[in-house]
Amino acid sequence: MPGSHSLVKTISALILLAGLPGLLLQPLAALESKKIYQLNENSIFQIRVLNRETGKKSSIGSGFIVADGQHIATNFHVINKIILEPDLFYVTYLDKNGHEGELRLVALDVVHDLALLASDENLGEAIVTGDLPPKGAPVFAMGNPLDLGLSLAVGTNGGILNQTDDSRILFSGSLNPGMSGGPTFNENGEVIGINVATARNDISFIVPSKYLNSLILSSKNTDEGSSADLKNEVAGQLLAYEKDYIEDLLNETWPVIQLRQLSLPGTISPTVRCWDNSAKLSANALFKRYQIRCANQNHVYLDDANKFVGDLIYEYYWLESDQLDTVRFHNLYQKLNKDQIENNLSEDEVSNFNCDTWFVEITSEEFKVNLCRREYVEYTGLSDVLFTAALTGHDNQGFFITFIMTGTDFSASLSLVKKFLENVVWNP
Amino acid sequence: MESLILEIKTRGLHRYHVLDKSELSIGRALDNDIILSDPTVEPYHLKILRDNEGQVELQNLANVNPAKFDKSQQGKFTLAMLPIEFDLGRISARILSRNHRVEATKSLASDDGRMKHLYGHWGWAALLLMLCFLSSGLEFYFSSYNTLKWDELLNFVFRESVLNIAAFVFSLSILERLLVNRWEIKPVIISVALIYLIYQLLSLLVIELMYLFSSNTPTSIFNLAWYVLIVPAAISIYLIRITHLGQRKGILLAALISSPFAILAIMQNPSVDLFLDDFSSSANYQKSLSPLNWHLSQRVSIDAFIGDAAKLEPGEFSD
Repeated sequence: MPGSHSLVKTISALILLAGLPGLLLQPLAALESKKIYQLNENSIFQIRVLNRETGKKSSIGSGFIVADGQHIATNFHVINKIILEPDLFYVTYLDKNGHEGELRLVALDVVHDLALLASDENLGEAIVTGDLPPKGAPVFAMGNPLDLGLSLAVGTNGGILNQTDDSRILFSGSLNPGMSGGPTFNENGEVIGINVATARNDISFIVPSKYLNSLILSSKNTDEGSSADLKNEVAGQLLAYEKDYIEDLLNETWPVIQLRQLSLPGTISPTVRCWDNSAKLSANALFKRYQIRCANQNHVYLDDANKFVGDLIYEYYWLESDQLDTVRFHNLYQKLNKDQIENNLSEDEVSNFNCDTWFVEITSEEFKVNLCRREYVEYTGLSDVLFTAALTGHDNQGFFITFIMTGTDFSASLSLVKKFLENVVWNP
Repeated sequence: MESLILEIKTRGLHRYHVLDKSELSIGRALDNDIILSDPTVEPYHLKILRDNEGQVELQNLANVNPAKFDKSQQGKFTLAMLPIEFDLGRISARILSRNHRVEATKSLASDDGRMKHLYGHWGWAALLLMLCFLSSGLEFYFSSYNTLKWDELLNFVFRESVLNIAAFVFSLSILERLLVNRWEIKPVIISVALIYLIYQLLSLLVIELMYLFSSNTPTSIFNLAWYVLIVPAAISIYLIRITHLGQRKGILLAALISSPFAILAIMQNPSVDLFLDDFSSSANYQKSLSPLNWHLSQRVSIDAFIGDAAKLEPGEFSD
């Protein structure tokens, strides 16, 4: 029937039209990434830290042209060797044509792991920054993974992470070593962040570009300094950040958690996450233990060897037994009293610990308290703090509080410890 | 001519010869008057000559390892100069008069025939050994936090006390055999067991002292004192009083035997370790916890603690 034949044709056309956007969209995403690559490949470099004596690369990363075309943005942890040993190391860029040139450091944002480098020559077209797209939108990270040449990784925007103090965007794509310092683009080809770290497959982190913008603005008012000035600058930024961080923590109202007979500070900040850390006991164990571990996520990286500061860790450990006599119980209790700071720093990076012991009344109970402190070699005023408190005077109940802060201001950390202890409540 | 005595010193009992002839030859060859079979002694090594006035002359005959004696007298000695000491190769000897005083006898038994001291009593040895095994068992019990398993207990006691005590008893017995040519198992067992028990008791005391003073110093001092002073003293007392070794020899030998342990203890001492290595990434804070909870430090408030803690300086940088 002519009428029914027309209807079939119309319906077929409608079905075809409905499917057309789907057909078009797939090749459209591939074009976007290709276009982004092509538009920016001349503005993204490999950043190399070279040893003056050997002439060889000591570390590599990525960077891209910003501002006036003579500046390159990268990560602080990529180039920090030139601050620690300026006589031995220097930094260069390498473009896709193999052209190399030396760069000098002009500004730092250690907390957000950013560095601004400058060249004496014009390097090319600067890349502009833009807004973060909605969560789930595709984003494109570029850099030089594993010294294999410029590459692009596609992922999605996972949003700004409040547990990192809003200093990281979650990138659901694969960043690899060597891509640190490279740009991540939105679909408009604007930089929304700078590659900084990867956790595991398709979980990576990007520093929001607003921090780069601030750094570029602040660099206009600063002069380049000597190595000692730069180390002091690093220390100063870290200390200032830690003081602000601790002040924010002190100003928060802390939620309370219960652990047996104690009310304790819980998740004291959006940057902190708490987990049950109670290990499984053997079936023959004559005691019970319960452990909560809380830690923040906003690491500040010092170098490319996974050394970082900015840790805030606190742990609660409850121990009890109704089957062990007090001597056996205290032998076990003492054996468990062994917390340390596990950041594997060497004698070139930190001093020895200095520790002291007190007996402190906390919530009408007595605790044996130890406090240990060490300083950083290169960054004056920066300290690692280890605080432990062990409940005393109970025959078969024990409780540990451990509190660790790395790369912090010692006085500020004591204020935090004080508030902690004042918020511990024993419920008889 | 007054006869004299020639004493040849050996590890065990010394050899004595009567010098009643005017001429005496000493050497390794079998036609000498006195034969010394040591390879450092020449076949014809020394001649001892006597005259009617009692003068003694030593004549060296050896080219290799010539006899060593006081050459200022040109080898001629009067009776007033006795005892005359000399060496033949590595053999030490001396010439004594017959009237030379000997040491007082060291009694093994009391006047009524029973053992004067318990070092000769098997019952005492067995009792001390049982106490050692019991203390080891208690150590296991108090440091275990799971349901007690007898096989684990026995394993621990065997490893920590039986094997250790057996090793020390064996070593010291061999040593005694080499020194004085005798086996003295009973006194060795008793001495080793006593030292083991004293160590166990003192260790417990030291842990409490650490808590009392809130300091790791008691354990550092104890470890050093134990291996550097107490163990050498105990061994030297044993060698002098039980084995009847000379005092100087006993002390030197005791120091030699205990020196590896002393050196190890010194090297492992945290203060020395830090001095040598200069850096430790560990925080060496006071970790002891005590059921008695006796401590000299005053209890303070949180504010007082924070005020005091603010004065805490960081540790030293390494060189």
